[in-house]
Amino acid sequence: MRIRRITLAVLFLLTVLMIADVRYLGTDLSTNRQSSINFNVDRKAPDFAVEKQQTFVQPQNGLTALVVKGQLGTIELTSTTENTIKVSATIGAENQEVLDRLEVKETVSGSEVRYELTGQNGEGMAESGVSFVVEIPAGMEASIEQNFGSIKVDSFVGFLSLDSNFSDVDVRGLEGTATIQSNFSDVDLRQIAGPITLQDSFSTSTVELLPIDGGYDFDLEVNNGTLKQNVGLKVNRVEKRTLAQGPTGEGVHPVVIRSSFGTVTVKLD
Amino acid sequence: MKSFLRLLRKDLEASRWPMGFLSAITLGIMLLVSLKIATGGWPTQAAVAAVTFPLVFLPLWVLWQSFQTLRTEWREDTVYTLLVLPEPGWKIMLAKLSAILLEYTVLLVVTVVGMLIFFFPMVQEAMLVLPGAGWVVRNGILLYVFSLFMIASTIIFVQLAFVVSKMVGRLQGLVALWTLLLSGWLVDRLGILLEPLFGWIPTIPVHALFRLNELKQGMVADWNIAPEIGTWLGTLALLVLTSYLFEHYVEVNG
Repeated sequence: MRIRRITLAVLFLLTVLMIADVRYLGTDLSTNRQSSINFNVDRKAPDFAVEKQQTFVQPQNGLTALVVKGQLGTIELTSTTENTIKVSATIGAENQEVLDRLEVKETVSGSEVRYELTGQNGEGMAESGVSFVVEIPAGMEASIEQNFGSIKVDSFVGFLSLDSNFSDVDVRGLEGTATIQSNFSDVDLRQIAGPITLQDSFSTSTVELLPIDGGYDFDLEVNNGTLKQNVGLKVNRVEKRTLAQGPTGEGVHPVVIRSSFGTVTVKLD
Repeated sequence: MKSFLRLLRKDLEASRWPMGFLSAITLGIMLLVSLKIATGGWPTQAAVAAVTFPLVFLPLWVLWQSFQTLRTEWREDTVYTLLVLPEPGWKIMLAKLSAILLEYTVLLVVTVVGMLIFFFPMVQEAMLVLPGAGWVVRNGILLYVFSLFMIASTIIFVQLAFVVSKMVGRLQGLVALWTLLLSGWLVDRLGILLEPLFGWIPTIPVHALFRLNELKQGMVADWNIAPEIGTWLGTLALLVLTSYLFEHYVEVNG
């Protein structure tokens, strides 16, 4: 009988400890625990044996949206004051035979113009890639998709949408709206003035915001990851979620961040 | 050692029928799927399901079997014999654990052999995108070894849960489930608390171990084992605790 009582007492004690841990300490301990496995893929674009270039110049006319799909290369995007869309593509391949099959196709559909690599005949992704240098009129909507490469956006004015996988994202100067989705990427957003929506997983993201009329309305949620911020928001930890919400100023421009298994840093100058 | 082997043989003999049945089912499903694919009834992708099904089922079976081997001792009253044997509790528990690991290995081998027999053309096709047979075998063995450790931990948790449940008079099923949950939480927290003690241990370069660069250049995976060591020590301590409780305090009539 004695052992039964001891067993029950130990189970009861552990249960109380577990409840207290989950309720009061659990998330702090979990947050301090380092991730066991860090996985990274080198995103440096491979040096291809052969390359060719294509250039597209398109008057804006009724075009309001641009889509660029890249892989294993760099996509550079900037806004200009001209009314012309300029796209310069560099296609790389392991050999001339593969390169001859490849081309960047320009497709205009309604008010959207799209650029993507075509002619890949099922060969491995590592055998070919494409880099773009894009200049578009300020105020346009730009959607960039990138896999295993990098995205560089400089002085952009308009609506920006980025979808990156295993890529480096570097944005310097944005006036407008940004919607960013990233997986296994490094996202570095600096000098941002405007609403932003960021969804990432297994990524390291930095968002540096500029002060703006109307202020920001922050809605940050990090699951199984780390949130750092200098905005002065109150941080709540619920289970493995870290939440921070609240406005600065009038809270006009929403900043929505949803992150899983990543590190998010939010700075407001 | 001899007594350990005798205990191991006893447990293996007890599970030979379920093992045979499961092996036959696995091979039967693979044969059926391969025939359906050959006659054009099913798409070739069905082969993936036929191979995945036993692999997904295996951990569930291990969980059940860990519980069942102990339950059988009570159900058939052989626990009396076990407890009067001049063998320490750890040897009995370790024999049961080893038996389940061996059974897991046999079922895994049956699945792999079945895959090679019934879906060889698809295996050949898959090999075209992988670095080579040597790479596949090496990584397969490494994954198998890692899976053994994970399964052994699961078995230890279940054994503790069962033994503790036999130490209370009523609601044994509930107590077993609750103990399972508590032991998982306990070793997890132990890992976190002891992590600073093992921070000096260098990370393990998993990419080098698995030769991931042969699959794709630039892959880097580092395993920081500092948080795991406390968990492993805790799991080992649970095995010792289970053995001690089984040897000294368990309720035969429970």
